[in-house]
Amino acid sequence: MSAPSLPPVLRVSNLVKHFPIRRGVLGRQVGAVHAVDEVSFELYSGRSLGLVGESGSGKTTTGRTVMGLVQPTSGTVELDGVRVTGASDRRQLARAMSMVFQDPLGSLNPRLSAIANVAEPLRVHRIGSAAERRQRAIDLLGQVGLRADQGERVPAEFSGGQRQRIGIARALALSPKVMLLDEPASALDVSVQAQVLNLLRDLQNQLGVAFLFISHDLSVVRHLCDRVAVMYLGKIVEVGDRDEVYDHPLHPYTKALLSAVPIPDPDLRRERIVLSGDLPSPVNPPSGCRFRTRCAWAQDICATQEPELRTRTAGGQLVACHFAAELAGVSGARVVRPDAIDPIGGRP
Amino acid sequence: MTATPAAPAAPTQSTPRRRSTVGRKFLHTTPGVVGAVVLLLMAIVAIAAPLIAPFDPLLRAGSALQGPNAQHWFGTDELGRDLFSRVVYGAQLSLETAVGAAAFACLVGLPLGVLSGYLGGVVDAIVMRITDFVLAVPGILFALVVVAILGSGVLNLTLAIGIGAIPAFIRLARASTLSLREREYVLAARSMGASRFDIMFRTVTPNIMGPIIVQIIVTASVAILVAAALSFIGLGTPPPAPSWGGMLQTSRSYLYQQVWYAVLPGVALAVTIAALDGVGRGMQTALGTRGPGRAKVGGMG
Amino acid sequence: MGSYILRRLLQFVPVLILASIAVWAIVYAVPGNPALALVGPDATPQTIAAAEHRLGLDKPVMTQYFLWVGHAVQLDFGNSAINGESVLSQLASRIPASLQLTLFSMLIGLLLALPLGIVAALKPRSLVTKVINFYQAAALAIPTFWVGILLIIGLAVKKHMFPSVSNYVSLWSDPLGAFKNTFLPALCLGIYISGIIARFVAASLRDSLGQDFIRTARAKGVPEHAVVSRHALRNALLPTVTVVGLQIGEFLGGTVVTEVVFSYPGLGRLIYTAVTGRDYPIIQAAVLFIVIAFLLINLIVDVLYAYLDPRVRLR
Repeated sequence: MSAPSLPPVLRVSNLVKHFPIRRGVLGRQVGAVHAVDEVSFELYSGRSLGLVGESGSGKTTTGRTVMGLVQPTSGTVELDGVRVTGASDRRQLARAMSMVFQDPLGSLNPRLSAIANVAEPLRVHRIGSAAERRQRAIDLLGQVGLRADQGERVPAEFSGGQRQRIGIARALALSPKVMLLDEPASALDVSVQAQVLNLLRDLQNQLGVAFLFISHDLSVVRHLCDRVAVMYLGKIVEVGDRDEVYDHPLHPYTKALLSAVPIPDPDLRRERIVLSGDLPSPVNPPSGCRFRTRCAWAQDICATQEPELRTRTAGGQLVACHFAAELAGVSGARVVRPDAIDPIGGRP
Repeated sequence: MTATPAAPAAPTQSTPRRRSTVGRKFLHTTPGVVGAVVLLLMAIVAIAAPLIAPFDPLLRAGSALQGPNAQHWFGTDELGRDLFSRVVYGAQLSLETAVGAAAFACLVGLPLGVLSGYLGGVVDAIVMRITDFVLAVPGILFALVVVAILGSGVLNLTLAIGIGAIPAFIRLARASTLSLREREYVLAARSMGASRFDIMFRTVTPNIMGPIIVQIIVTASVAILVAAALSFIGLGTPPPAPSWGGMLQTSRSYLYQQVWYAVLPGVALAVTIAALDGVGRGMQTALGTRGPGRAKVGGMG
Repeated sequence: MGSYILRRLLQFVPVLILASIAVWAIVYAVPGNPALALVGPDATPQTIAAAEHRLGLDKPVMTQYFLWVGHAVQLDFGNSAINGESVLSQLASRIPASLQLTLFSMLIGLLLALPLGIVAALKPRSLVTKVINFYQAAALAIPTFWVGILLIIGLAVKKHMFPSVSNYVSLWSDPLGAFKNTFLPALCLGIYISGIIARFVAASLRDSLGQDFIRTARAKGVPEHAVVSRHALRNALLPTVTVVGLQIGEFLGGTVVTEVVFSYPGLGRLIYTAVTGRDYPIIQAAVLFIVIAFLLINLIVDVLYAYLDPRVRLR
């Protein structure tokens, strides 16, 4: 593992978030959505960790809980070794951790100019005079490739890619140590995506900010992140260095995800691993290994004992599967359950 | 208490445009332009009343109950006062009451509505119940009872009407705030570490001003009507002040002698109210919002 | 459905309590002895003492409130400060008159508004519609009491077609008399309300006509007049009916001035007389009645609407 010897700038331990479900006139709690269950990971300064998973995997909730926008049910988040969970003082936290959102237009205040939007964090924290804030905003906009004369326009007058840059500039205003990026490229056209991602990488190299990058798009994550964590139904099922995970996925879910990533080679014939069934409801997750209902290799033990996330092979990545070692060589092979339904389409 | 879809729909966030586009759109609306012009004229008349009115509205200026003639354009009333001058000063009174009531209602109702919408919970529950109660009393009646308790006079009248108009602002601000609360830029503001107060009043409030402005105009329009109605039944501005409603009341006794006495103040009322309505509708079109119906503000004769 | 009704009722109760407190507090808000407010300035010392006892002025405030509530629940609102008669009987005598006026006004309003609204929706950019829009604007802007005065000048004084002072004549006993007496005030109010309703009808019908199921009907070859009347109109009527229902609630006390203009003996005029005469027992009882009626009407309209449009229940 190529983890640096410095301690992590962000450490998440056993983070849990359950959303209560209330019914009836009095709002009795009748159940809970297990959005995030015992999620732990580390983020190092100047590096990027990609958190991938499909919708409903809990990655967005994880991000928001780490940011402090959502209160965790249990678990801790440490920033530079200091506990920040449950802190009522979001203000302090906000200076070290900022966020870039998925919807570039929606995440900017429509009434404020680009400069004003970027300067908002400075205004909220009362840093500098109005003129100083303005200048800093202009500098930041320059760093993301926007000119000062464009700065007076409102978000509606910019293109999607430009708006996202403004969002990034705003996130940099307080010189954060950690930046959470929640699907920052998903709403953009593919050509623009590349520009934004490259910008992010350059910024990271210049400023040393750590990125927590949430996405469902595996190819984007591959482009930008050093390490990858795969989430399924509120749990991390695999985590490790990017190349390790992409080249040698160990968890059946990861293998299935990767087999679906388009490879621009028309002659290549791949076999797709097909997931059977639908995503189970997070209100009632399956016992034992949560993935077992869709896993082609599930055995009895998968229903009774939940697999720990730990190193099981020489490769060094952490994986939560009882049979990771046995299945290590199985990548791309197709073993289908008789009652398979293919939600993605294609051969049964 | 009610939220039937037939009634005013929850106002959408005012889509921000450069102010020039809003202005241009406004100028394309007939009701807007006509209303604005008339309103401007009325405002000028009201402000410049001492300069425009040929006679003192409180003093006898000729023989009683003359019809319109060269000297007295509108004729005179039962005490020989010049009717035109009285109508002109009446404009001053009406617009004062309208602006006062609307401003008061907005200043109280807007923050309450934003607080209620953003904070939710107990605050919301309490504010909403009080709002429901006030709304359960028809506008005129409410003002009537308040005046009964406080006594008559311009200030009390303005206050009474203003209080009755507060719930509409609360509802409007609350609905707008609710729809904005989950927007991403509010979330972004939270992620920046902005305090709730900051978010409510520096992020959310500026973005809901469109429908609020329309509501201010509508409230002003209703205020004029209610003030006139109350003055008409003797519970508004007491004589000898030249209130349009009061004039209409007195005119009833002299329908045979000076019929214009009963007509002209009414025309002034109708024109001013219609002008405000027009401006309100024009603003609604320009801002692209569906504002509240006048019914909800409770203006009726 | 049941839980929706339950929720509405639960919202209803606190408002009712608030209203009762506010109404009860009226006599205390007036400067001076609350008992005096109840009995009026000409009362004898015995009457004043009786009133003080009734109010329970020597007891703690909460008890006073509950005393009043106790009386109210038994429909005992005491006697009028002006003429000493039972408040309840006075109130009760005015209710039929107000109802008659309200319903008649609504009828006129609908008769005016429906055709106007339909035409405005069907021909959005025609001259006719512009005229209708102008009428709408005028109907809302012109004060009803002024219309009343004008009508009196035109029809009652000069032409003697209708009485200039209206009395309440029960529809059952003398239909023509009832009509003649109620027509003028109802017309004033009806014109006003037609402004509101016409706009609603036009907007709802326009919305309705733009929907896909209308396109389907046309594609099926349904003749245009049937498209409008059988398909679009039915959908548009629901919100309209709701508005009418809600306006009835507003009308109960909001017609004060029109009633005064025509001296029509309805609830509004009762309150007016009470206010000018400082007759607080009547003011209290009347306001309480109006608030409760309004809340109940709103509740019924909401429940009816939820019953007819299931989407509302899920909110």
